[in-house]
Amino acid sequence: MKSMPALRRILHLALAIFRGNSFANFSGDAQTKKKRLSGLGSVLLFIFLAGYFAFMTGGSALALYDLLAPVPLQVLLPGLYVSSSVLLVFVFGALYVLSVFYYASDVDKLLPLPFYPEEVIGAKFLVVAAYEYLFVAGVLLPPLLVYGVKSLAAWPYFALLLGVYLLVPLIPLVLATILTMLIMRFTPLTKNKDRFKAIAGILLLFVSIGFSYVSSSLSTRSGADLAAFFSTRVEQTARLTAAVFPGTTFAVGALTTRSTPAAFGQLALLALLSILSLVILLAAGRLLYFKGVIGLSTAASKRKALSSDELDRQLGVGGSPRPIAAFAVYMQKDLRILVRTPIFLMNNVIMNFLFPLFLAIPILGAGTQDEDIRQLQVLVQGLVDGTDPRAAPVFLAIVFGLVVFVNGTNGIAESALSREGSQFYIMKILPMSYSRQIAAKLAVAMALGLAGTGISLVLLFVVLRLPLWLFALCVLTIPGALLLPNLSGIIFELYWPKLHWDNEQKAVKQNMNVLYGMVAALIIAGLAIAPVIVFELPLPVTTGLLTVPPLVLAYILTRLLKWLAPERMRAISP
Amino acid sequence: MIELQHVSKSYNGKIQAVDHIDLSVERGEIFGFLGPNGAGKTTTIKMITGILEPDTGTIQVNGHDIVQDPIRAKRSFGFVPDDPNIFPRLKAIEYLRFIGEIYEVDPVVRRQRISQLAERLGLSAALGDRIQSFSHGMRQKLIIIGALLHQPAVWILDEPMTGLDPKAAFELKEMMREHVAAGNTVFFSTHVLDVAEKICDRVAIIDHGKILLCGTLADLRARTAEDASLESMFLRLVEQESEQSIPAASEPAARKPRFPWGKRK
Repeated sequence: MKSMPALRRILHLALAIFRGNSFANFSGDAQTKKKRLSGLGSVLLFIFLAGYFAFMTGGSALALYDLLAPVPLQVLLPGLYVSSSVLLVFVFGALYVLSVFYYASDVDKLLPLPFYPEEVIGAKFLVVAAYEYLFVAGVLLPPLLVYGVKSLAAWPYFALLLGVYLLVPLIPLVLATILTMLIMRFTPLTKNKDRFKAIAGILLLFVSIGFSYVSSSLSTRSGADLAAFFSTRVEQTARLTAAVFPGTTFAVGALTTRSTPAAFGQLALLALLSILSLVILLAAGRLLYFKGVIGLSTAASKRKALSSDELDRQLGVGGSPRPIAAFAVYMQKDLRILVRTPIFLMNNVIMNFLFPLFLAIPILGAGTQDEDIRQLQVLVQGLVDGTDPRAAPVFLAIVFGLVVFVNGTNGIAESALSREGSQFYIMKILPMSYSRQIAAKLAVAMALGLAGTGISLVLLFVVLRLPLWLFALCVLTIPGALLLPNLSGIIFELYWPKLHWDNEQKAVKQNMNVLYGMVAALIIAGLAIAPVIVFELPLPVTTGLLTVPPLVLAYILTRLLKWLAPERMRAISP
Repeated sequence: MIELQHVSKSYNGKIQAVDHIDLSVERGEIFGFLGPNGAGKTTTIKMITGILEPDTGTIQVNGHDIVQDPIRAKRSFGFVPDDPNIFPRLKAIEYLRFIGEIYEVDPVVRRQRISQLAERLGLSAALGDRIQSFSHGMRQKLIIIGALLHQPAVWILDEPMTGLDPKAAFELKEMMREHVAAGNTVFFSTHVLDVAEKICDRVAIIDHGKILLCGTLADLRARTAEDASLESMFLRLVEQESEQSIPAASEPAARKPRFPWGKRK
């Protein structure tokens, strides 16, 4: 097992698993040349996003350093970023482990192959670690590079940083893997893949919301506040992570110890602990992994016959077949699939409801020091008092923009056909016109979009006690704001559906149409909001501008869709 | 009931999957569509059901052109695909309700037929469960129930025996016979030549996208001038066709499965 051929086999296996999830699969079902171009585009997009992320984390470190240097507490920064990285690796690692070790569709194919258990576990761990290294490269490296440059550190610091970067993710990831294996081996909860995925996804969302809230409230603290915060909370957190994840102290020590030999000594200790953790992982994996993964089913079944009454109710006995029932049942089918498929539930449905909350967090988390927030509060006050005539048009434009943005980013219309995957052919054999089927899919996207944005809007009006006439004006502009992003999303799908996937995740997360939808939504929202703010349009003009042109455009797009749907549907070969 | 005239289909303009075929399937007959892997069976079925459009030619199902009058054509057939993985997140009963509403089957009739067919295929206890908890065979049975719910004039099945247990396979053959006895038509593709030999009124053998032979078993025997089993005739025809269609040694070795059921003894 420890020989070189075994390591090579692990590497080959890891590469094979990794390729199944890599950017090569990002594109739609186009021709090979187009696919390559699209793949290249995806890589460029990834580089851009990674650069943006690194810029954000590096920028935050720069701001924190300048705030803490006068106190002086800047020496706490390596501890802060190492502890945060360790915690994030642990949380996200557990989810990656679930996905790669347990819910990947390759498990059934790998089990009968002549691999030693350690080889399968090692390869899968490598895949998870590769994702974590990418993630940690954005979270840990830019801030600590900034710290090194600002504190005028010598070259050993940067060599040590590289060593810390390579070693720090290992111990929390090993712990996350063993913990996940224990849960999957011994708890009955996890026997239903779908339910567990949904619960884990919702938990992750709440962790993200909490993180977003903490970081937004942190970013608005004053220097003195922050120093007090650091001297208590950050040190407590660092102590806690050091206790739970052995090795964190050595990682921080390697970056903060003044004596170079001592710092390298700390790094060597971290390396030793990491190697030991890997040995423990392989031993634990042998005991836990295969027993947990075999027999994992996607859904629980009762195998209990339905009673006569249940059958009547479920089959709609008592009603009569009407054409409208076919449309409704088609929508119901799509809704059920959206809600019951964990990936679609998390990425499309829940995000659709939570997105307004994500937008509200910076407002709730921020104090009155942030200039943008203060302006927003003045705007709302102006609305409530009726003193500022500029407030209502700007508010109306913002609501329009938000509805467009939420509907353009929830990806429901933008994955309407892609979600069908290999079952797309069913759309072709049903005795229901393509236009009606597309209309039903559009109706699903519109209904969910309306529910998501409508609930937020009603809450906003109730909480802020805004006038009813303004609510009525918002209602006037909403149909256009709902229709435009959803219609454009469906049109993207008719041209570039991503039907060939082996994992539902690829239908929404690796679907370029979702990205096109976001860009289209940004353009529509920008075109609507900009004139209102730039030309300071009065309320009647703003209402007209946000109601009539979007509805006219939506009408044109609807006509286009009606003509396009049969043509495009016929052209798509499943 | 099913009428194909000069139907062709190529993929990317290069691979000729179906090459100018004519086929007529009459009311009241079970028609077997046979051929080795990659012969063009599934492509033909996809064109009959409207999943693919033919490059040339016309297809009529129950008197309705599948391209010109697709909704009426689709209403008149029930289809059982070779891959039974449909809507795994729906419960079986929800899937059947969906099919019932789309085909506008009266709720009382739908209720009776589902109970009756589920009982017959041994699926009654699983109707309340999600399809993703079903085995391959159970999914196949569910699709069979869905395909027969609106009592279609034409029943089209692509490799229907795959994954069925012996009892279900027997029931399926019985159901095919009953379906044609009621004046309907059954059109199915299969690799199981014994089944075709036992239940088909007529068969067609397709290879390289062309119909090699079409007729009753007696016709086939007369035309091949041998008193052999369907399997022997099939293998001889396919072998001859392969030899004719591989003109030179430089031809790429793309058509490996000459004997899809294993080596000939």
